[in-house]
Amino acid sequence: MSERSFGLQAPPSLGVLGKKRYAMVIDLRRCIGCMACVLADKAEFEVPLGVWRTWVQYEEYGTYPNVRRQFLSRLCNHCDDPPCVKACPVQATYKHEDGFVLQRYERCIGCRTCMVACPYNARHILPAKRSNPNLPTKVVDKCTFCFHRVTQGLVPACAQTCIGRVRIFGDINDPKSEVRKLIDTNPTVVLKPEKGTKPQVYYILANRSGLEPAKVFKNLSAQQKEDLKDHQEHFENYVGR
Amino acid sequence: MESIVSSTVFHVIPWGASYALYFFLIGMSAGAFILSMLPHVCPGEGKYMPLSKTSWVISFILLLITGPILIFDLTTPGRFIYLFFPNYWHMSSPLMWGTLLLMGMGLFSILYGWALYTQNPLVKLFGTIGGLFAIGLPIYTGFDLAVHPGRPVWHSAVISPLFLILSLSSGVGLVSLIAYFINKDALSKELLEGLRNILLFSATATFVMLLAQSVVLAYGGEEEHYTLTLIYANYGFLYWGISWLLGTFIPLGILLAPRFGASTNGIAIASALIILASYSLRHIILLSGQLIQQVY
Repeated sequence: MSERSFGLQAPPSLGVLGKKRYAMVIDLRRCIGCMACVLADKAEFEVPLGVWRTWVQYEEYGTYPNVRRQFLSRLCNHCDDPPCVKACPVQATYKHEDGFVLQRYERCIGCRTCMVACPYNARHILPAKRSNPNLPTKVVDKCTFCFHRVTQGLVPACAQTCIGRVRIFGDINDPKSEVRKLIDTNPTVVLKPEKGTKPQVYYILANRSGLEPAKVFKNLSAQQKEDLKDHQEHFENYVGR
Repeated sequence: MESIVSSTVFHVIPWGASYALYFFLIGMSAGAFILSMLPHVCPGEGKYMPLSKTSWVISFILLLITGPILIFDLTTPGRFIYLFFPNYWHMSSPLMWGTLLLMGMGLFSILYGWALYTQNPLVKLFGTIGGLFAIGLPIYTGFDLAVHPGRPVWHSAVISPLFLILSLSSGVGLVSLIAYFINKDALSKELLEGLRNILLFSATATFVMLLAQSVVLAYGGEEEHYTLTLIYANYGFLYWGISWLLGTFIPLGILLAPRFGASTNGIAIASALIILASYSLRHIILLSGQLIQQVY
């Protein structure tokens, strides 16, 4: 267990008896890249265009005819030692004792330090204009592991909608839970374990080496590089400045 | 095995060039303040006394400019007020340290300026406390970046001392440059020698730290190594042309020249180049640390 614990960060609960520690297993052997998880999330939270709470990267490798496509579903890792919580100057983000890393919109000042701190790019800024005027604007948002659903006894929307049962959600501290059994019986990896964040999204058969950021950047096509520039230029208008 | 990343999601660079400008201006403000308080706090440094008031004015004006830059960079600028409410404070965040340092610097800069102009004996006390805040400001801007292990370039123990040195060199450089344009004949030989020594020390220290940072990056993991490649590709002119050649080597050459290095013209040229490098280095460090993550 981590000795590092700051401010609003609930103590790491991974493996602590009597404590819940919600986690997700993403079994990439079963992923077909249908993006239903992305859409479910968009629908559940009215996630605006251009930003994502969850997304799916894919990579094609091999030489024709021996080619293969590998997916990698991404979302907030709800780290046991989340750097975003430490970085926020106004306590706008915090870690729930059951492991959820959550955001308090009414406190967020939009300094984007949490976005900088997150090694997984799991945070985004909400635009100045929303289709529903009651929704928050111009503050940082992120995946909540569907806290509102889990507290009602449901699983997150992405796990609920996944047709291949790729995303399995549950309490990793419960030896009878499906996530615990999957982790105990399969080799799993987490993203960027060397950053010391203790991420709680476990992947089965992730092609990690192929999806490291440096490799992605190197392999961008000319069109993707142009799109990247446009995306950055769009940001200032997007947040209404 | 050949592979192509066919689909990815783009993310914005969270901290843009305005942060680099803030780091640059607040650094110069701190450096100018240190030069201003030096003759009042250190008994052997009386030679800087003619520049004390000019330095304080420059430092204070820069301090006033930096606040709005930070506030209007927030996506919800009206909420900057939360940073002043203790029930919102989160002391593990370097931004909070910065807020407290800025408040302290602002308060003691005013008190110091008042004591300076009224020739109050408290000038030494206010100068000492203000000086500590001034040293803390560039150090915290370094921590703002260095505490993020997910960002190559930033997560380095060199960043804070580098920003402190850049702050000293750019602050002293700006004061020297302005003094040159206002009344260069008033600069005594002893004062010029003192300014030269400060600039020479800071330019040498910048060179050493820049070298250390670059070598460590080149020998780092894939992300670090590739970031260095990106720096060469995207900021080649700023990195090699402005930061290394114009901002480090040429000023070092000028300042080391026996006569020209201690002349008003020599110090003014070296100062202008050092100021240029001070901005370009911060710009490169800030933006290059965020390049790769745009596609991750």
